Amino acid sequence: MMWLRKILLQTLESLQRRLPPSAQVAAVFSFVLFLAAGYSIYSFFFNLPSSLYYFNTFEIISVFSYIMFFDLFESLLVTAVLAAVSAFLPGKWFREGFVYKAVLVTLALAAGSILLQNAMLMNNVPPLRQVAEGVLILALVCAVLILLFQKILILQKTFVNIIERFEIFAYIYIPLGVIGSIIVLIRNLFQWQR
Amino acid sequence: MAAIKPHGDLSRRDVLKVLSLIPVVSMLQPLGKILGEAADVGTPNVIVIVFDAWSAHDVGLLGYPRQTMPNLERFAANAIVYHNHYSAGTFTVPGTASLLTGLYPWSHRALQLGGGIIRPHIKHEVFTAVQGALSTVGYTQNTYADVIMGQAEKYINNHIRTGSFNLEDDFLYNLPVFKNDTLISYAAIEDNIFNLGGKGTTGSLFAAPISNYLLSRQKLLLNEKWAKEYPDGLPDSDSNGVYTLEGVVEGVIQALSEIKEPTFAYLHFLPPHEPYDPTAEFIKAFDDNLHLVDKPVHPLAYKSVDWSGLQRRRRLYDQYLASWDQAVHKLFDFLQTSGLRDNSYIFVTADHGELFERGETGHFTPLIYDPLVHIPLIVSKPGQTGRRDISTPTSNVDILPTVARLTNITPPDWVEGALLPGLGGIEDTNRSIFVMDAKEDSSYGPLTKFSASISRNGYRLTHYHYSTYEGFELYNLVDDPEELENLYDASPSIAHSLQDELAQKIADVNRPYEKK
Repeated sequence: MMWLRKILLQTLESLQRRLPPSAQVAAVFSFVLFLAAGYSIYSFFFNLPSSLYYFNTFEIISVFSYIMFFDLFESLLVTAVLAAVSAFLPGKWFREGFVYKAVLVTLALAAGSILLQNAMLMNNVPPLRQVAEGVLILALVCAVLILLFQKILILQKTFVNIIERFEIFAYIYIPLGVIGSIIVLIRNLFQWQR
Repeated sequence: MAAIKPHGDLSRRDVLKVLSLIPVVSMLQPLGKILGEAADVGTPNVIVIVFDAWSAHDVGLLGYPRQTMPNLERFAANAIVYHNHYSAGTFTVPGTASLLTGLYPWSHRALQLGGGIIRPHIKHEVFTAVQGALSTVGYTQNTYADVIMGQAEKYINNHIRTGSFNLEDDFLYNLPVFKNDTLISYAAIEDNIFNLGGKGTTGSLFAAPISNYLLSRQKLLLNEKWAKEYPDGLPDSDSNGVYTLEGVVEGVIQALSEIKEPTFAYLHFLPPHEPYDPTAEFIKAFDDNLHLVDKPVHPLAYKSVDWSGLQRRRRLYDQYLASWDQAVHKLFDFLQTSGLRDNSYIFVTADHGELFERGETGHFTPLIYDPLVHIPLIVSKPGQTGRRDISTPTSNVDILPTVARLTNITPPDWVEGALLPGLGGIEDTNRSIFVMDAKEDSSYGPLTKFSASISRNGYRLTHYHYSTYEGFELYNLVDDPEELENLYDASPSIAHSLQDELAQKIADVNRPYEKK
């Protein structure tokens, strides 16, 4: 069994080497969470005036808890996918400069998502080909920006500097997400209809 | 009979007497069991079948010139047909809540889309009322109704998921993991996180748009697959997922075939709720010269569809209704062949009606006119032969007390309805029937912006009470069923009598909220 343990340890060590440093992952996670939470809080406040007509204060807090729980989960998932991509791609492609590269990909993903929503809002389900074209365009824009940031170091440094400042929001959104998760858990463990 | 002597003094004869009783006593237990089973067999099922947005004005059985529902008519041949049955609400939330609680909207307070029954009345849902007497099954395709039903989750033995019989099941809120919290999980997950809604964005930035896109693609593919049967597209409703009419009927038949003990079943189908998607068989039906009365656009109408547009919409609704009737006849046949009709009270009704006049189409409106609130009610008693017609006014708040009575439970004292005539109630022509729409009001405050109506002795008075519009309308429903001539000024005594009763009622229901 020693050989199995050895292989496992080697795999873990290699994976650890291939993953971006935790501080960088945390910076990206904070930014993703900021985007996800900011977006859903906007949506929540849009719905709030009507909710006030039929929900009491605790019920509104509960709705907000579900949203925060979902944001935390979604952000963790997006960050995990980005980290996994960096582990599987050659180091120079994604792991080096993980913060600015991952954030640029996240921004492209968010832009694509909003564009898709706008198309769907007009009762239009874009054909797969159109979606693929959109993804390709966004990927190209992303690649150009990454190249640009690679070449112009001052741009890269300023960008990363700004991104790191978003970590402050993680001190708000992570506790909200954790509290939200606890409230969601309690509400669903026990019979909690009005 | 000689008294048994004290212990130790029993004679041989006494012992023989006692021993002779043993076979009799031993027989009593199985006999009790047999009687119990007989009682069980004798306890009828109660099956409430609801069609969503089903107006009495479009049913041939109730006087409509177009024969939209011949299969329903066959079912009604051995049932009680109520000709003046009304919903207390004008759309799913208040209508369903009134049906399930026996309370008017001003009491249960499920007033807005997405709202629920307030805490004091949750335990007043019919599922609670029949607990102990009957096992309970609940199914609805309408998510808003499902949320209301879910408030009584712990009293529903078998709550069938909303999308169970659809071709796709898009929902997360009714996953078993959220079953203790349907009202809030629906508001959060469906209304906030995944649905685009009026705001034009989902709450989730990454997952929702992708999942919504994939589901929409899936819908397109399903529509293509079923294009021959449903040329206008498969029946659908916003986030409800597409389905076939036959598919939901077969699903419900399957659920009913699993009934093993006396049961109360609430089965709420979405058809004929819009969008109206008739099957190929009926897509050209009713190409007749039926002339519908042109009525002026109401100042409070949300839309202003012209008369020809309303005519087209109504024809489409009728085609969809005929398609639905064609599909649902399998359920009626099953009730007959399975024997359920012999040991069940079967209610066929609606949560509210549908409007095609005064500029409005559908049911999202502050207006109260007969097509929107006059709904069918057909009740088949166990083994009933022959049809009975009842014309006295009844309301869907009468369903709960009647169901209680039919299951040998004393109707609760808090209900605002009465026993239905023909099922233990009396035919009361002087009875007042109310309808209320207060979707702009809070569930936790006095009613200040509303449409409310009272009907009595063939007259209906409607009070529109809004900051932008204040008005009363009085119609003679017998002489003027199209509600064309407002008699409010011409018949002041009738108008004021009804107005006073309605005002008193609203003052009474507002009182507990005034201090708040």
